[in-house]
Amino acid sequence: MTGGERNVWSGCGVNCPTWRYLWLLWVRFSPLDSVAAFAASQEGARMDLAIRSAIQDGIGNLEVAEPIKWHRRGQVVSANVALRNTLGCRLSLVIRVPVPCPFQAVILVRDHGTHPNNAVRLCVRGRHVNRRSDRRHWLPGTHLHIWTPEYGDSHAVDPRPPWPPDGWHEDADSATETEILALVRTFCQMLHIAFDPATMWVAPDLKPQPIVLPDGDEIP
Amino acid sequence: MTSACKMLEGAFAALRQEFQCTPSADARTVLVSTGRFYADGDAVEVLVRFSEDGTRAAVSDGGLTRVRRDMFTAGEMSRGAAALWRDVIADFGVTEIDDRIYVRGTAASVAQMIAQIADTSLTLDSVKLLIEQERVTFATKLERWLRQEANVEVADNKVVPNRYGEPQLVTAIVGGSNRLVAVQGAGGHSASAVRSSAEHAHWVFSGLGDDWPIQNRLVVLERVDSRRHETVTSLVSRLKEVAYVASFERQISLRRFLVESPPVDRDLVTVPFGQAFLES
Repeated sequence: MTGGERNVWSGCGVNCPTWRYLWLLWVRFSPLDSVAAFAASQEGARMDLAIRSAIQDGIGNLEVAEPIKWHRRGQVVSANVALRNTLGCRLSLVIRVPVPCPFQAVILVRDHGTHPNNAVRLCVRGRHVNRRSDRRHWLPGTHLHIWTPEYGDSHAVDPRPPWPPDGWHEDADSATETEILALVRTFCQMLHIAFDPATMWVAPDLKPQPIVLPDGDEIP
Repeated sequence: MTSACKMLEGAFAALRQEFQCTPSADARTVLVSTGRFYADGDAVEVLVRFSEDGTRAAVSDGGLTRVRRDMFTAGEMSRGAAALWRDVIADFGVTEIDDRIYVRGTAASVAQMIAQIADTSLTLDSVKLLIEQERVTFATKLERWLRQEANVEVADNKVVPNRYGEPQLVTAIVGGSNRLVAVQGAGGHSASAVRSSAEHAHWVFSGLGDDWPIQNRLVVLERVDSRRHETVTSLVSRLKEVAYVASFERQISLRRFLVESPPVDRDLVTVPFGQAFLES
């Protein structure tokens, strides 16, 4: 997959500064319908690359299109809401909060296109090592995964402004529903995603639910 | 040999530092980082919960393995992947309940239990590679796209009667704004496979009667080799005799055909229908 994607840009990866600059210029000065048409007209992988670059650069008029609905799997509450956009593709905002440790939330934009992937993923206070790229590590620390053709979404960088939210404590070991909302707002601002908490935000249920087995043992 | 082991003392100390305990919102449960990392570099962490008297412990992944599977793969597991998932759980001697895998025992055995769940979680994580690599037929891919991305109504019935009174199976029947469209996908690994599928599509649609006029028929080619312009033009010309022809790579044109009135030209492959494209 990687080799093919690089070749369509004449041997230069999509992150090549020249192509990226030209692409941004083209996008910025073109009607948005043309952006959608351009993105969708390209062959499989190239289309995905164009879309992911647009998401990462905050282009595409992304907007949270429906109120957040939470569901629980084990001790993890998650939400997956559609993102309205002018890129002509199916995108969603995914929020994942581990209930025992809500201070380690994960927020991402998922591209459900031909090659589904997570275009951008914010891991709050998570543990991560860039094993395949520059060996940087956060043990723990908030980091931002940026999808690249070479490494998929396994490559992380420091979060970019407007991170961190006001009054942020990186070493906190708890998080309230209000703080989770602040994380989501900051992530949306980072990617220029329109998000109106007054109509779209519903607080998650962060009550831990261990399973009690018949003999009294509790499974976390 | 001894000196080599001595040289590793610092490495062992560093490895030991990777085992860390973090308090959780629940006083009897802690989050433990296990020194292991998934292939993408994220840490494998497990939850440990002690009984009230402190004599027993349960270790679980809290459902994170399952959530990772959902996060990185699209769609359901196949039978093969589901069987592998179950086999890994059985082989590692752990149990799955309410989307979490766990093991329990005495507090003295908690180290082995942490390792057991961490190893199981790592192994289960690789099941997603199998899910990603499973060959999905183009018919399935096309039907999934119609339902999930094009957001058009897809009938459960895929059979239309042909003009000889025989039932004819198509890839999908789609309810457009004011008409039903019979869709036949033509895909395959190679150009020759796509051509064979396209020949089958021609055969399918040439057998349909007036109940299914041309504007209600669509052949979707999985891919088009733009370097072989003449071959593509020839193929599309033949298919145009019996149906509209679109390419799965031109999804805006494809969707517009399904939800709007059809254009005059039946070729949606080389003639854009509301979609500009940049030739490489």
